[in-house]
Amino acid sequence: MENDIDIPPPSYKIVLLGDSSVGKTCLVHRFITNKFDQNTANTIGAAFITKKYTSANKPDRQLKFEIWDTAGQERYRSLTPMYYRNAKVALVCFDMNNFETTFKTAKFWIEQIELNGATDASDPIEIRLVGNKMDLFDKPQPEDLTEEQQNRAKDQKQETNNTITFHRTSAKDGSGVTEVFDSIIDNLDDDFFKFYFDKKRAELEAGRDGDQLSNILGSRLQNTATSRCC
Amino acid sequence: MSELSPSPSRNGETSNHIKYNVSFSSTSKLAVPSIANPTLPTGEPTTAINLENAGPSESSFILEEDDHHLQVVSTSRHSVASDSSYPGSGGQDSEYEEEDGNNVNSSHIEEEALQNMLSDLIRSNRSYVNVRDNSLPLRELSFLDLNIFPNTHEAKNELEFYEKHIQIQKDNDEPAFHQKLKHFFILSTAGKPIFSMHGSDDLIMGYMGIITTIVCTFEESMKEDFKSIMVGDKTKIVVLNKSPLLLVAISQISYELMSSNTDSTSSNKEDKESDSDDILLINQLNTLYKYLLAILSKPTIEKNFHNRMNYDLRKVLTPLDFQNLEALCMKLTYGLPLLNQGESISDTESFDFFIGELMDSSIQSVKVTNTTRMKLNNILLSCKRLKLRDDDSALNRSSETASLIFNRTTKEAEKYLGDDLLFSFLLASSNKILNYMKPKNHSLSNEDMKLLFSMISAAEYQNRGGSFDEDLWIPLCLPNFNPNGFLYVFVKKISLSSYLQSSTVDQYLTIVLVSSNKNTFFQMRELSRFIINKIVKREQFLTTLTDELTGSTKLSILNDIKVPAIKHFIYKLKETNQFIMNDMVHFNNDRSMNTLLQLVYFYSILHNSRATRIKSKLKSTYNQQQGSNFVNPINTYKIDNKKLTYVKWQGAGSIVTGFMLSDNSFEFYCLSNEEIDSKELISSSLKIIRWCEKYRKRLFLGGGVVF
Repeated sequence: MENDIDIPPPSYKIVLLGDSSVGKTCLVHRFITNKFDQNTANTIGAAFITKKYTSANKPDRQLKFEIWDTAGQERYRSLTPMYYRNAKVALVCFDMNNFETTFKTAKFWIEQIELNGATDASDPIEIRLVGNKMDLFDKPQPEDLTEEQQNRAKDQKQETNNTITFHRTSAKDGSGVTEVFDSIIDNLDDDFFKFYFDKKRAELEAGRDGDQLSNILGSRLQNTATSRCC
Repeated sequence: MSELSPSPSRNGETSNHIKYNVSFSSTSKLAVPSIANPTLPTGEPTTAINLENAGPSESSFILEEDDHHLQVVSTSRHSVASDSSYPGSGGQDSEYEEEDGNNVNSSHIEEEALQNMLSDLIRSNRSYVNVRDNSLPLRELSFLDLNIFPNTHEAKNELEFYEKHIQIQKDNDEPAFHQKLKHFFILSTAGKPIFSMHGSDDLIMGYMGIITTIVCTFEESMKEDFKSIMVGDKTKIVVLNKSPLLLVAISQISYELMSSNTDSTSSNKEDKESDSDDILLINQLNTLYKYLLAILSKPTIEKNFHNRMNYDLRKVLTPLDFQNLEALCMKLTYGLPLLNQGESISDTESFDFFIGELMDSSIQSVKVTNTTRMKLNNILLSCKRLKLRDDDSALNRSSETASLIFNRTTKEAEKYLGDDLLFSFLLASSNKILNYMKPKNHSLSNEDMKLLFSMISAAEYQNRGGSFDEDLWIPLCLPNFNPNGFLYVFVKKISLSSYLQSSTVDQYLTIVLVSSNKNTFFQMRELSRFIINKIVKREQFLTTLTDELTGSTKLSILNDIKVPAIKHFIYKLKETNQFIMNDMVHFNNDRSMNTLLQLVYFYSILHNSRATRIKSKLKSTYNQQQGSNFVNPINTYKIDNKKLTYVKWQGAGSIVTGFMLSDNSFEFYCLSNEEIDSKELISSSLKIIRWCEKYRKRLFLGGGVVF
């Protein structure tokens, strides 16, 4: 019953943060197109990408991801708060092969989110720490990070109030990428969907009576086809 | 080897900066035309001979009999004043004073007059050209034949030459580094390297030191800005001092070393007067400098260096920035794109860029019918009138929640969605404008637009196929608009064909919305959705638009107006500084590097050759023909400021004729690689020019729509 065709899936904002060249854009592109381009160029400013996605584990749950892929380069930092301000999830990325530098930047972003991110204390931004470029990692063990690095990632977890989950991914060979997004959907409360659909249905009912919905959607985009609603 | 005698005026240059001629003979024997003897003895190597009184026709013969390289066989000009200090004199164009205000109004008179005049000029040269031509086997023209670049290492083919002398090479190979024809360096005034077109860091470090030392020495000991130096007659070094940055260009390319004789009405006229010989390279350096301003803004650069003189600017530059700078270097110099090993040229963006720069920062617009353009203009205008509604409160949560809650119904709450929208563009390909909207009191310079578009195409690169739904938000400083602050650019690329059921070709449209407020991404996104909806709403309009755009990307005017002899042309409208040209494929039936470099060379020479005013000659021709009782002062045919240049390259079995005609409103350049007589050349040219005038509204965007 939650998959009413009339009602678009709830949108869900995600922001990718992290140092330059850790693979944020590649992660997003792997998720969106399932492709990898070795020559991906640096992001200028930011890119806003949307995709409707159904969890592989819970096929009744669909979200419209609204993903902010931000530039890692230092000179764009002043803009970044705008991107994570209303985000539900922050994917804070680092390069497992360039741990020291990129993890330091990851830490910086986690601190920034804690300082400025929470617009509402009851709804903190969920932080997911993503170690990318797993394929390049020379340790053959499944536990890729060195023990010390793992401990530091864990410490980081304890220092913060936001929930932190740790993922390992490779945008190049695709491992772990969809799992990140699946787990975002899977971890959501049932209430989230219930609340959303109840609200939308109520709006729709009201709209049929009072023409309110068409008022909201229609009058500005007068007579415009809404076939491409995104 | 024949060479022109050095032009005396160059040595005696008086300008407000130091011009250091280490040794001088002639800058370019190809480039500098001279007054020459029309009764030239054939069959032996010849030097240009000065003719005291050239009369109405001045021609130069610069020939090398034993050499299969193409030469400028003749440059014909029309000038009545005997001006023996002709080459490089940098003075005013020679002309007659106009005697009275009577004008000719008939275009066929113009045509005849021009034809007579040109054939007069060429006749004596042509027979000579033909004799020589017959003795040589026909084969395809190579840019190597043109002697554009010194081929001292005897590269056997184009590719070898490209790899040796042109291609960007960043390694430690010092001999290879010195074989490159063009170098660009950006360094801090403290001598720290920031960017180099060729060579590794280790390799260039020493040269950076030398450059800073020279510049400092001039500054401190001579209280002068060091601007340019000529090393021998083949190499020029130009420095642009934008403290805390220094930009350096070193060129050995013939068409970059000839003195520019444009009659441009460009804004930097003062620069032109003082550095007319260096202006080409200085403009190139300015383009690189403005790229840095665009991504960083002036205060950021100054602040960084103010804190520490030995600041390393590379820290804030990304690999993409370096790639963009390299691409700029190649585009500015050769009109070539950055090519990977074995890659061939896939689009003409870099050539378009080069021609745009050559035409004094001119830009191209997309050819569509005026109706279509007006419809799109209206869509852009209407998005400025969109009200901000209640359901947009989410967009403005941070700043306007209060006003929306408390004043929902009052007028104050009726904010406009596009309040912060400054400029909007619709682009059909990365560098061609379909529509432009601007506020009443502001506008963007062509330089800023070009910067904006090249940033957009660099940013769009990831999503080439438009395969997924992506909106870009790019902070950018547009230095001519405001070097101290950033604007925020919303970019959305859509595939028009994806909205059409039956569509054979992919046609893309890019929506560009420039906002003054960094927090207005979602407002701009809303506007873009409105624009898209409006465009795709009616299938008929969408189909028309898609068809028109598909047709215009490959401009085949030459087929449309049946001028088979003309292979390539550029028509520039001076008023708005916009130009059109046909697809380069028509010139040699390909878009190869060879063709591209030839066009770059021909147009550089044609553009930089000193043109001569012909208004009085036209007038006198008319007077001879019609007598003086034909008076029509009302219907004015504008012969004011009409100029022409004619250049012919011949050799290796090929002939290329270049022709330029301009007046106050337009500049026209064309090339033919067939036998063409002056009559046909003039009538074909005028046919194209009239066609361009007739379809002016389709071909040119004009000043854009104003809100």
